Amino acid sequence: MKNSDPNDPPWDKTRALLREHLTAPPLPHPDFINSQVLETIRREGNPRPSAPLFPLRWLAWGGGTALGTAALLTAFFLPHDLSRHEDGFISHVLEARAESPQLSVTSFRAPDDRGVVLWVEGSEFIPANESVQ
Amino acid sequence: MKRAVLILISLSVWATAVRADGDRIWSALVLATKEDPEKPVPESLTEMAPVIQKVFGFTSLYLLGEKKRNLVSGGEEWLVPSREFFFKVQCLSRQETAYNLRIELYRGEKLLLTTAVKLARGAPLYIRGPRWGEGQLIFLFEVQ
Repeated sequence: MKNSDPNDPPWDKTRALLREHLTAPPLPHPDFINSQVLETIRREGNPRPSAPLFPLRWLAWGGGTALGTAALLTAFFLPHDLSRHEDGFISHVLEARAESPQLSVTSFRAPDDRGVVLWVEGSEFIPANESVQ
Repeated sequence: MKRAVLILISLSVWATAVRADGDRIWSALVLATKEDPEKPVPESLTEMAPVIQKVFGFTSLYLLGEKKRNLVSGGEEWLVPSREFFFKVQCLSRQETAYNLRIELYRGEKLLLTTAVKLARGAPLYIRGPRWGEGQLIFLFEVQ
């Protein structure tokens, strides 16, 4: 089959005949189609919204890392750091009573607030040959 | 993303467990002596050894018995670190950093001592017990 060349005289003739006799078919709803075309042109003419500076995924990872770090720091440092400096972490003897008249009890804080001591005097001596275990 | 959430949950659970793990009371019966050369300190007494040395003047320590129980507010536990000495521990209340405890010290069936203490985590209670042979018995309580 031979390809038609638009510069050939027969093609010019055909084109002229088509222009003369062929008319565009009437559109069923020209206003609707026109509005749709205009809407498409308007939509495609607007620039697309730019990507956010920090995508959500990165925000989630950042938040997760911060939470994890906070949990680790709390677990490692809070109990040790505060235990020696806050009054809430110091033990106290509120009351002490010997249940035997030959016993006496005194209480005082251990050096550096590393505990509390109940000093009991008058306990019965236990010979070494008696078992206490 | 699912992996990140799982890691986060694991970290939170672990951190909570580390913090909540201290809700136990440990009691021990210790024999303290003066020996030359000093005997090595048992591992569970290493934090308390300096205090025992300063307060009681003994350098060698022997762990004769120990017990550990959960602390539950309003609960009562018997701690029996040895057959001869044992303790009744009543947890009166719990504060943010400490427990209010009522402790009774028994020798056999005989009640020797009653005390009410506010016991903070990591700050033990040392009770000077009777002398035994060449050494001194010491009772220890610690919230761990």
